[in-house]
Formats: sequence, C-alpha cells, structure tokens
Amino acid sequence: MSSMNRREFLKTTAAASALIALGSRAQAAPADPPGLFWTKSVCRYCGTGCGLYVGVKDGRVVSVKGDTDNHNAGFLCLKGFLLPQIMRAPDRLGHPLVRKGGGFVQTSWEEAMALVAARFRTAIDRYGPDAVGFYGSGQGLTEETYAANKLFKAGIRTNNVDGNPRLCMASAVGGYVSTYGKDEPMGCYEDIDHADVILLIGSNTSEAHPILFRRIVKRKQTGKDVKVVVLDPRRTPTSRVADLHISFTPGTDLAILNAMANVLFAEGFVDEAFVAKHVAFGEGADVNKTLADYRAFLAEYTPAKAAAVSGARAEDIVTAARWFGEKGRTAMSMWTMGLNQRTKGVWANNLVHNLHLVTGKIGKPGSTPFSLTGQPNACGGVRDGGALSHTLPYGRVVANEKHRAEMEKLWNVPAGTIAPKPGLATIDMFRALEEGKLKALWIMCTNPAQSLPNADRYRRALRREGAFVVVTEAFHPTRTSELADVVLPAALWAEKEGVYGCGERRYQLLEKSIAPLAEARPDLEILCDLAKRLGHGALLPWRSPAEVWDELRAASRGTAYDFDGMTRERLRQSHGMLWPVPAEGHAGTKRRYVKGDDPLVPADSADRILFYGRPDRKAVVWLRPQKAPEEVVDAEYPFWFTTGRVIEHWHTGTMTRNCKELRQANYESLAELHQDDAIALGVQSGDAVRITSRRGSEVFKVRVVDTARKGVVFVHMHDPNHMCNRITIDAVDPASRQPEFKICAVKVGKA
Amino acid sequence: MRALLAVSAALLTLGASPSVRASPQVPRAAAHPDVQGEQDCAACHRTRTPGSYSAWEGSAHGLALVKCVVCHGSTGTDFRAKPKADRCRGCHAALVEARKGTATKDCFACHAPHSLSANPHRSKGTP
Repeated sequence: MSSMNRREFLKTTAAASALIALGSRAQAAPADPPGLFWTKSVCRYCGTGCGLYVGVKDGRVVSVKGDTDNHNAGFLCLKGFLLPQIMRAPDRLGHPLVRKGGGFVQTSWEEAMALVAARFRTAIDRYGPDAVGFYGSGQGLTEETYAANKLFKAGIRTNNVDGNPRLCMASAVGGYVSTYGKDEPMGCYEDIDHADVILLIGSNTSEAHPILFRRIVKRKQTGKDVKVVVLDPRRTPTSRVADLHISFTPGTDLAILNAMANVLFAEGFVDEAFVAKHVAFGEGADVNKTLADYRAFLAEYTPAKAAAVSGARAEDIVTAARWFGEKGRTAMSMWTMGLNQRTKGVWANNLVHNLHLVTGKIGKPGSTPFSLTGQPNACGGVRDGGALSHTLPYGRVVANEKHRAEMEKLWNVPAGTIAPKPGLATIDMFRALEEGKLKALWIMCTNPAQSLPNADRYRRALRREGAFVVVTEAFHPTRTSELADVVLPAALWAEKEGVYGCGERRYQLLEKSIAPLAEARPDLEILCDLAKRLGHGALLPWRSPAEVWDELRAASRGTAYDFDGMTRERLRQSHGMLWPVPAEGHAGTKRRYVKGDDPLVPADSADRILFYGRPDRKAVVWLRPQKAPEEVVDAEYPFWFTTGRVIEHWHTGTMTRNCKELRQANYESLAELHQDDAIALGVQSGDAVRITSRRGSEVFKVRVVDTARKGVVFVHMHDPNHMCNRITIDAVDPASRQPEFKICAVKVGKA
Repeated sequence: MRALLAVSAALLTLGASPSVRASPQVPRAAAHPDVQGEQDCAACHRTRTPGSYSAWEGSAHGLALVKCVVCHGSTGTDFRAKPKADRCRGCHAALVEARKGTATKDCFACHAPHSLSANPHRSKGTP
C-alpha cells in the first residue's frame, strides 16, 4: 500500500468508524427497547443476497429485519428470519482443538497455529508447494478468500486453491465464459419485474431462492399475461405458479432445449438481424460453424424426437418455445443446480444461452439468461476473486502469462512467482489427498466430508495416514471437523466485517455487529497469522478487512469487473452496488454489454449491445448434442437418484439445524417416492428403505408424494445423519470439473 | 391425542374467526406429539386443521412458503397459538413499528389469521 493509499485508508477508516458508531445507533427505531441497535448486513444463507439489519442488544444478536431499501424489499425467507439462533448455538466452537490420541484436546491458539505452520512447512519443504492445498467456500467473505488465494498462489506458490463453488456454479461459469467470453450474468434481479415469460429449468426456486421466487410470483400476479414455464423432473412448489410444468427423464433436457431452438427456427421466432450482427457459431471448442450448420444440427431435434428421448410431451415443448419466442415479448431464463451439477453442465448452460441469442432476447429489461447461485459469496469471493485452481482475480486465469504477470505486479512479487500450471480442482484435490500426493489441506468454512459426492471415499481420504487436515469452522463437530487434525474456531457472520457478492453482481458490506464468541477469530485474521508463521507476512500485511478491500479494488481496475469506484464508505452507505462501478461517481451497472448502461461499452458503439468479452465482439451459439449422464439406470440399478433442498434447511444443515423451529420441520432427510414405485416396493410413508448405488448406501425413511416422477427417487441433502452423498456420483464435467450430483442410478429396497 | 385435538380445534377456530382470542400460552410441548422433524407442520395440519391450512396455502405467505413455524414458533415452549407482532417484524418491520402508539392492538385486528387477506396499508398508500 502506498503512503497515499495509507493516508486515504486512515481517513476512510476514521470516517467509517464514525459511521459505524453513528449509523448503527441511528438505526434504532422509536419503538425499539432501550439498548437495541441495528447494523446493516446480508443474509448468511443463499446466493440471493438479501439485505437485512441485525438487531443487537447487550452484545448479542437478538433479531433481524429485512432491508426495505435493498433488492429484497425488506422480505426474508424463514431461514433468514431465524438467523439469530445460529450465533449462540450449543455446537458453536469457541477454542482451538487439536487431535491427540483418539480425540480432540482444547489448546491455545499459539499451540494450534504452531503445529499447523510446522506441518505445512514440513510438507512444503519435503515435497514441494503442490503438496499442500486450500479448500475454500462460497460463504467466506471476499477479503478472506482473497487472502487465502494470495497466500497460497503467491506466497506458498501452489495453485492448489479451490472451493465448494466448484460443486455449485463451475458449469455456469463455463457457460458464460464459452458463450460470451466473460463470466457472470449480464442481467439483474430487476429483470424479473419486466419479464413476460419466465423459464425456470433445473431450479426449485421456491425453496432454494425463496425471495426471488416471491418476486416471480409478484410479477406473475401483476404483469400482463406473464407465462411461467418450469422444466423439472419433479413437480416442486415452484410449479405452483407455472402455466406449464414439463417433467422429463433426468438427463434429457439437452434434447428438450435443442428442440425448443428447433421450434424457434421452424416457426419464425428468430431475430435474424440480431443473429447476423451479434452471434457466431461453434462446436466442440472451436468457433467454426455457420448459421446453416446450426440449422442442420437442429433438424434432428424435432419436438417429437425430444419427446421420445425425454418422456416429455412434444406439444408442451412446442408451447414453451412459442411462448419464449413470441415477438415483442420479453423472456428471462433462470437455472441452477439441475443444469450445473451435470457431466454436461457447461453444454446445458450453452443451450439456454442459445435460446436468448437466436431470439435476440438478451440485454433488455426482462430479457436475460440468469444463473441463480447457491451461496452468498460464491460469485463475489471465489468466482470473481479468482480463487479456483485455474483462475486469478477478476477474469484472469493461471494459464495466461499476461494475467500472471499482472497479478505478480499487483502483488509485488517477482516475475515468475505464480506457477503457470493450474492446480487441482476439487475432486482432483481430494483424490490427491487419497493418493498421498497432497500432504496438508486447509479447509475453510465448508463441510466437504458431507457435501462431496461419493462422500465415503473422500471421508477415508481425509483420515488417511500421513494426511494433515486443518478445518476452520464456527461449529463443531461437523462431518468434516470430526475428521480434522486441527479445528480452529472461526468467527461467524455478524461477528466480523466483510463483503459478500450475490448472484446479480451486487457487492454488499456486512458490518460487524458483535464480538466473536469466546476465542473465535475471523478467518482473515487466522490466515494472516498463518502467513506470518510461514514467512509470508509481508504478503498479507493488513490490519483490517477495509485495507484488503482497497487492494481488491486495485486488482479489479481495468478489468471487466472494474469496481474501483466501490469504496468502503460507499459500500457502508449503500445497499449494495452492481459492478462494473469504475469510478466513485458511477452508480453501478444493471445490464452489462448494453450501451448507455455498461460503462465498458463505448458511447459511440453502433448497436445497443456489444459482446466485448470475445475478440470478434460476438456471442457464440454452440452446437451441443443430447448426451446421457455418466450413469444411467439399468436392471441392477433401476431408479434415477437425485438430490436437493427443502426450504427449511441449507446445505449440510450446520446452521439451520441449530434453529429450534427448523429442527421440527424437515429435519431428517427423506426419500420421496412416486406412489406406483412405493406400491411396487411394498413400502409406504414412514417405512425405511435402503438406497444403494455403485458407490455407497444409506437408509432413509420414505415419503410417498404426488409430486415425484415415476422411477425417480429424490432425497434431501441437508442431513448429516442420513447422507445422500454416500450415494451420489463423483464423475465430473470435463470442462468445468463440476460433479454430477444431480443424476445417478440406484436400487431401492426395504431396509 | 385429546390435547392435540384441542390444539387443532383452537387453531381451526382461529382460522375461521379472527375475533376469537386464543387462550393464554400453555405448555404445548407436552401436548403436541413428537414429530421428530421428519415433516413440516402441514403434513398433519392440512387434515387436522384444514381451514387454517387452506387459508394459509392460498395466501401470499403460502405461495412464498412462509411456513407455520415463522409465526407460531416450534412445538416447544416458544409455541404461540396467536403470534406476537415480533414474528411479523422480520419482513414487515416498518408496518409493525407504525402500529405502535395507534389504537390498533395487533396485526391480526385487521389481518385475518392464515389468509392475512386484508391489506389496509396498501389501500392507504403505505407500501
């Protein structure tokens, strides 16, 4: 940090401190009890990123209320409303733990960190920097993730930095980057308010993104002839507002999406002028095809053929395409894990983008392809911050020499410091642990021993003789911390300050509301301590998250993400801003690639839209054929197995299962079965069944539902005592390295 | 079981007639069967208290899956047959605060429980 920056920083923090003191208490409402004050923050759960205020009294979080000035208009879902209960949960970890003998022993921070540093140092000295790794989280604060990324890539000099966003949005990244040249959605949540047609595919929005679903419901109820189409094998609560629900055999949606494109061409819904100006065509990895090639490719994807492949009705596919394509009406698509958690996840993403590109329904209010994100800071921290094994901050990649040189300059390290070879992506990282190649692993703010597919395999890897595993966690035991060698108590949510970036490119500040529990520390502080002990203290010199933020702004400068104008004080005063925000006077960007809105599109650009992410300034329509999942049903494993959320619980349940109301609602993961399947198996609701795949087995109680597709078993993903991921498959998309959580083959029998 | 039916009946009555006041808090934990978290409240209450359930299901709260526990709490000692306004505050803080100092005793003086159909705020131009 230059002296100028240091002065600016001191001014900033002084002003900010004043604001915290004044701003928080100024938020006290007249009717509040004495001593209660409110700090501005963001929900800890999903990627919607709902703004809220944290109510604090006597040093405790006692309440939350939605932020009416934020995109969520003051609304919270039931998980968000119950957030205060997670702060003092009985399994909050307050002191460092070190494994000794058969169990954990409470130690001092000094003893725990000395041990961790010694083990990391030994592994690096004996086996080289690639013998260690960092596994992070889309729930860490941006500053924390950045610190880890910098320490490992520029200090330790390994690119073995990955995180759980690899499990949830890597294929969405692959889709955006391959189609537009740049990651992240170009649209925003406000597009929902302008959408005439809303296409939801592979998303149970109602339960996974409830506040966005509320906005969809409002649009459906107040807009003129708004059509909602839901593509999902299950008839989830999301379908309650659907005009059309298309159920299909898992893994056949690529055929359906191609058939929709077929109809768009066949029935005259294509915007030929838009396609001619803004669209290129490609196959495989090459942009070497023509419009004629694409039409020829689509010819075989008739609605009838897609219906035969998928089990959907041909007329429904036609209807969906007609609604989507109707001229003069806007269309917005949203999707999430149903498309991303697939071995052809990037392809599935490409096919959604194709629908928008051939109709020109993109870059206008209400017309946009929008990937929904599962975690509160997968986008801001890991995806944008470049904390995956092949990426560097703000659109840069490890394999690009120029990008490495830029980061080496920004990080003030010698040229050639960053290794040119990408590190290990998540599944590869845990396989390296299994093989003994990875000796020491740092896991921050996530629970892979429950959330990885084929979990038992990687649970064994975490306990392999000679492997050293550090877990920084707010809760203990989790299914991961129980396997660790050292568990470090991490400060949780309102106990620390930092930035979250949600699904619509909105960056928001979470203010610190209370002191950390007992000896818990923010992950940023823990990482700075580790850096010092490994001799890299100069790389992580910060005394506050605000200092890290200034460095992040500098790293974004001149990139497509440019948020240089998003100063800490602006974040403190605002209710989030959507990047790019290149200058302090800039209000943020609702729609990227759009002239007059996106500051990166020249004002004298000839057209309303400019896909500047690619050298030819065009977006790519990719020719992606239907391809079956890695594992399909057969005589031995005759049921499709799929997993997902219920509204009450989030991810592996470490937080939501600490709320008393939520403990009584869908606490135990159940197996949802179609009535016909239940009869054939001779089971009814409440009976136990054993579900077995080629990888593992687990017992669940049955719930017979009228929303299931025959032949498909759906299991909730949040229960540490009934783990669906013993069963799921760890095959990955070859491009995104994201596993196919959503589809595998199982047998089901009475337990 | 008798206790459960009594609770159900009280809820049903509440659903049908907002003017009927719930009895003071009683220790529900003993009365309610142990549901062990295998399901949500609606799994039983759609048949135990069909009036309340269907009013809720068709409401804005029902569509948005603002489920029973948000207003009523768990089946433990925190259970409230008649929710306090604090339970509304998470999403409707401004409206809850605006009520203070007025003659309106609580949110349910105007909003029918479960359907919550009336929206007097909007008609007066309040968001």
